[in-house]
Amino acid sequence: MVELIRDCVQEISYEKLVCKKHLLVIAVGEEEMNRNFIKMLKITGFHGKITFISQPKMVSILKQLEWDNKEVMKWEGNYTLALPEILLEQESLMDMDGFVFFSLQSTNLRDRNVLEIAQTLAGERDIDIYCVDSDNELYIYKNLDMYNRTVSLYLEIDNLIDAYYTGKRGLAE
Amino acid sequence: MNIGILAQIKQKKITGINRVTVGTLTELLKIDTENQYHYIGKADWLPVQLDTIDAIYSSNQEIPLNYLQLSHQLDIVHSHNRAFFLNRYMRCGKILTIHDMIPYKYPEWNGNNYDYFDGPMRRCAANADRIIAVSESTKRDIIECYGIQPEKISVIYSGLYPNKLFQEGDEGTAVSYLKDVKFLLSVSAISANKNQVGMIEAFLLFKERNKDSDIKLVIAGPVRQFQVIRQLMNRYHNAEKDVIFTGFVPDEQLVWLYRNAVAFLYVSFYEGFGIPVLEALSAGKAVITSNVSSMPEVGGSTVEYCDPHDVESIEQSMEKLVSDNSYRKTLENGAKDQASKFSYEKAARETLAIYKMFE
Repeated sequence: MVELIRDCVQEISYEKLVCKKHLLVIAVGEEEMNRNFIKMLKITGFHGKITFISQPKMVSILKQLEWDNKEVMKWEGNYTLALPEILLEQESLMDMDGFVFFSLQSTNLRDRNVLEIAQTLAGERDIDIYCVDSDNELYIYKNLDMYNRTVSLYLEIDNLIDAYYTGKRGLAE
Repeated sequence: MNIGILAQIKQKKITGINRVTVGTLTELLKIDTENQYHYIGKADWLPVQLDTIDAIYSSNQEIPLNYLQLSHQLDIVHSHNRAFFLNRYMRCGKILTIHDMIPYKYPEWNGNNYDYFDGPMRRCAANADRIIAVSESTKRDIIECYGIQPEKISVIYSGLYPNKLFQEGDEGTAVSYLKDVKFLLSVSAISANKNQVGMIEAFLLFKERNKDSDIKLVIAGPVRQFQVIRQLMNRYHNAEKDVIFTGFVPDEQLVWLYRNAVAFLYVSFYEGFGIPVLEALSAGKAVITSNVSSMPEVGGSTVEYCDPHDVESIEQSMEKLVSDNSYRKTLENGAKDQASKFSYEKAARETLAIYKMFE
């Protein structure tokens, strides 16, 4: 099952982003990670628009990033499914064709909320979903639906095994 | 036995806790020919050859390992500072290494990780059969913060990785613009506990009181609170010339900096261990460090101690080391002996002894 999850995520070169017009980026609290991402986009020749979704404390920092064609949208609190509802109403995001988020690792059981947001957006628009990890490496999710379902199943099985062992011991006692 | 190793997230450039993991593993693989070691997760970034067991990690939560354990039947899972969850009735030794309790004890420095240390790490520590602390100071903190029984915690000190860096005769690569400069050295990360502001203030105070001194302060590594430091430096004459920030330097230049410094400064408010102190001692340098947490364990009786919360105390230590050549030489003479008490070879032997408890 782990193999199945990993197969849904593929490491790619930043050059694959060059053809994109508009990236929606969930900014991260670590200023350096946002900067490194922009640096890689510059190196590889991406010229499109970037819209950052940011927690309030990062807004001013992101506005100072050296990228002419950018917008910073403030979002307060957790990233929930309320976010795509609002994003899909935005005229300025009509042409977005890429969704980028940052994570410590590309396959991370912790990122389910962000990936649910991505899946909702991908259901309405023709977008690719990308993750940037702590080493600034770029990944693309090839089959997000499969990924999300398999991760849920993985966790469910793990919980079932836990319940089984606890119950077995309970019966023995 | 089949031993599964869990580490921090992958790093192309190995630093911090991953250096402890790799340092220990490198030596373990040399001395242990009986047990089989497996890396839990993708190991393509590791500089050691290990079998891998593919797993999906979960940052800031317990890594669930029940499913994996059912299919791989590991005898031991040893995690390096990552919380994991295995049902307590599963037959498998659970070992957790904890490096420090900073996020829990000082949430004002590292607020993002407080919940992780209060939740997943606390539960993992309670569920573990054995905990390894990297210093007696960290052991005391684990007992105090988590209420763990002292008997469950073993102290295994860290060493230096790669240890060849500080071998006799390795002079490193010169930082050209510092070749003719007399300097005190500090290396640092950006964490708030490193006390960069206090250290710089103490140095500028020292310079004000010793106007004839041509010594500089060189800080290698990233700098935190740059605005605060800039404001502080604006208050002192010539501060821009006297405090030199090198930014990140490769290992070869770091060796040169250690070897060519007059003395080394490391005045953190808190450390789990204090690797830079050990690095400086290995290079035979006189060291000024803090009299708190783990630093006295690493420095022993061969370093100059100060109170990191008191700028005057740090300044007085600088004064003593810079002006008293004979005292500095005494510290330098004892430095390598003190450093030799710490190595990953020793850490590996002690770790293996813990693994053998589960045979």
